[in-house]
Amino acid sequence: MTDKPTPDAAALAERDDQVRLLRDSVIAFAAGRLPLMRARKLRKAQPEFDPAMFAELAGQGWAGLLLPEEFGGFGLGFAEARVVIEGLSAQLAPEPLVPVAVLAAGALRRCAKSARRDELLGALAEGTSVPAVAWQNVAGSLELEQPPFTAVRAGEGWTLEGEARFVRPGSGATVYLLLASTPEGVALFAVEPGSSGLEMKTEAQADGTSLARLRATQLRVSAAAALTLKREDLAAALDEALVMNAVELLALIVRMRAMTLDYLKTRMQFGKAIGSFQSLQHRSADMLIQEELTRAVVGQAVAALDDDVPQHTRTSMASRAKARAGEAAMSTAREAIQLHGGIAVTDEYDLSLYVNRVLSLAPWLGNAQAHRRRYVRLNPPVAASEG
Amino acid sequence: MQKTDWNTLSDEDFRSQVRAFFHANYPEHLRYPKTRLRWVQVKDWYLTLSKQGWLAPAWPQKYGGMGLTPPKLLIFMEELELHGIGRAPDMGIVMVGPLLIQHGTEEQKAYYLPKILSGEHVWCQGDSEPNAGSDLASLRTEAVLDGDHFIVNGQKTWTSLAQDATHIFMLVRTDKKAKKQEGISFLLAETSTPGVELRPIRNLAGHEEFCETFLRDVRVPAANIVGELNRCWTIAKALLSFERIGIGGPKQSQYAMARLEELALQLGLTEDQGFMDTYARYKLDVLDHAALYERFVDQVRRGETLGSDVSMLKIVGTENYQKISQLLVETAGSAGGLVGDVDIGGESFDWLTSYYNARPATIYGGSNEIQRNILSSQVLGLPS
Repeated sequence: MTDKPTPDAAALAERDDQVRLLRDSVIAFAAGRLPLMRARKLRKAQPEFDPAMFAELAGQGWAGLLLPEEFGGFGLGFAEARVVIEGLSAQLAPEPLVPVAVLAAGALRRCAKSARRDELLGALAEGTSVPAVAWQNVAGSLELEQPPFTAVRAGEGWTLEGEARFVRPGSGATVYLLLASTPEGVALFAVEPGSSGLEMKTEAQADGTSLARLRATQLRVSAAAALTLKREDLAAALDEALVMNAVELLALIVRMRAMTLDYLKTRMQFGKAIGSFQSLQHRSADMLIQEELTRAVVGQAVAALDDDVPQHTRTSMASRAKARAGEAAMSTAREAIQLHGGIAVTDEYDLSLYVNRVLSLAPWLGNAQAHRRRYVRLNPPVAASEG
Repeated sequence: MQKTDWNTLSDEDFRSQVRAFFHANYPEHLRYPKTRLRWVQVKDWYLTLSKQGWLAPAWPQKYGGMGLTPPKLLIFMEELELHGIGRAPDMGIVMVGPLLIQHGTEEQKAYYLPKILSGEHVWCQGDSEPNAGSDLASLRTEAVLDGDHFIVNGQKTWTSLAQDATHIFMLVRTDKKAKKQEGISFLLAETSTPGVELRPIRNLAGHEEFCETFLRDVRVPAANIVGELNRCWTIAKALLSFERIGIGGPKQSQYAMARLEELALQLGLTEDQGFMDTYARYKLDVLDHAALYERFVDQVRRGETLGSDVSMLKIVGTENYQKISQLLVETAGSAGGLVGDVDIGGESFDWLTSYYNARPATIYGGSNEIQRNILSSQVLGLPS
């Protein structure tokens, strides 16, 4: 029950149609261009995704989907971003759409206007630049109070010190955006890989992708590289990335559950389909419930982003979405393995690809526990009066 | 009485009128009752609603109802819950009325419906039997035709508030030779008929909210059959599924959660990471259930019929309610077994009532195991 005016029904229907058309074209693209075999082959590749495919996705308009037209984007909303990300995630595409098209794009477009920012945004939308945001310190805190890097002025430019972890994509990024505290606040510093003073290590993830760990020692950068923004603006971009990360997890849940359901209907033991056994039926019903709870929360969170709700609501919704999706993805993976039996613990069977993707995506940007705690920090228990 | 077409009001206007009436007329001391209200407690309110023409929000206007569309009905029910209005013995309104309106004869409608609205007839439901619970179709209470009467023999159980009822509507077996689901009929009877004997059942909480109903050679007019003889099983199933969105809402767990939060504050547990982690988990479980509930409510608002997947609402809502009420007892520590209102830092808490109320929630209205059977067979298409 909100007091907001109800949006025009015709406009809503038109939006629904647009989203449906986009979903159809994403599904068609994924079916033709993103077979699971491709994802299987790209595991542990260097870089961890196919740059040509990333450029092709950008060519579809999906890298710049959320960016305003002035930056070569399409100015679409999160309902549209959702269907693209769902479609790619379902086929386990390792191309870093959420880290780049959501997190980096969301952070960059909120930075103060500068030539460097506009150039980066334009290249991002075209697919010629793959920026990765290094915002988390080594402890993996979700708060922005202690940025991983510290920047001090040095002549015309800056010198950076510090260390960041959990940076996606771990390989294949063409530019890093290092979050550093400055005397005036915070800024993202755009630094090319291989810059002197920047040491990079990758940490391998379960699914064959990786996370980068970046250490800056006397890293000298030019004044133009400093892209200033407010902490709350970066927080907004992170909330957007969290919700889209929940969307990716939902797509994995859907696939794992569908595979499991098919298996229950076809696998015969004791002379009948194992899906006829009540203990397995009830576990399947519980998997369905977790999927539907996730879909309901993710739906509300996506709508909250599109409705531009107040910051507190948005951040709370983002944590709810990630908490549910992360937990449901982990429990769906566990149940999918058990209901399949031995075949599920082989590398050859495709379920293993999904389980390993869950293990890589669920902890990123904070796992379910971290987000339940963040939710309660934001919304502590209150003494409510009755009625 | 002037007939208003409530459906032509805007949702906001309708909601504010309903809310204002409840505020002005519902007795303050009956708000958020801990147990089911008895007829003697709630009769005045029942008649107040009746006089207002609001007793039967879902019945068509021509039968004295409000004729609300599903979206308006939802608003009405939300406001009832929001104001903490206790449930009256309402089987006549929610079960018998709709049953008669759809399947009754003109005579039955003309005789019974006005007497439900006037409070002259109070109904109870005779479905379950000692050996027919989840497997309701195995019911054995038998009605044998003898001239223009049926002779009824058998036993019903869990007849809620039968003590207050003047009438009972029963599922009875009218053809013993037919297959299990066939040969079942709906029969209406007065509880004052010779041979009807009630024995209240004391429940876990020590209250007498339901009864066993014994039927020995009870003579019921043959005209009291509703619908077609021996063909009532599908009607019965439809009536039961009608309950499902009603018992799938988040209000009970939201209320228990609010009490848990207050208890945690009184006990200074907000710095206790162990408690807070469980609390956070349950809190989000409740919020996410509400999000799922909203999706189904949206379907109702769009005028769509709900599918079998609505079963998941009942499962999630009632299981949340149970977990939270158990956590309330556990959070109370050594005081957890204390009965009734317990003073904690100047505020009173009654965790056992919430614990007790949450127990049957996973059993009635189709046990949660039955709901899971429904999901796996009708939604997932798993073989039997």
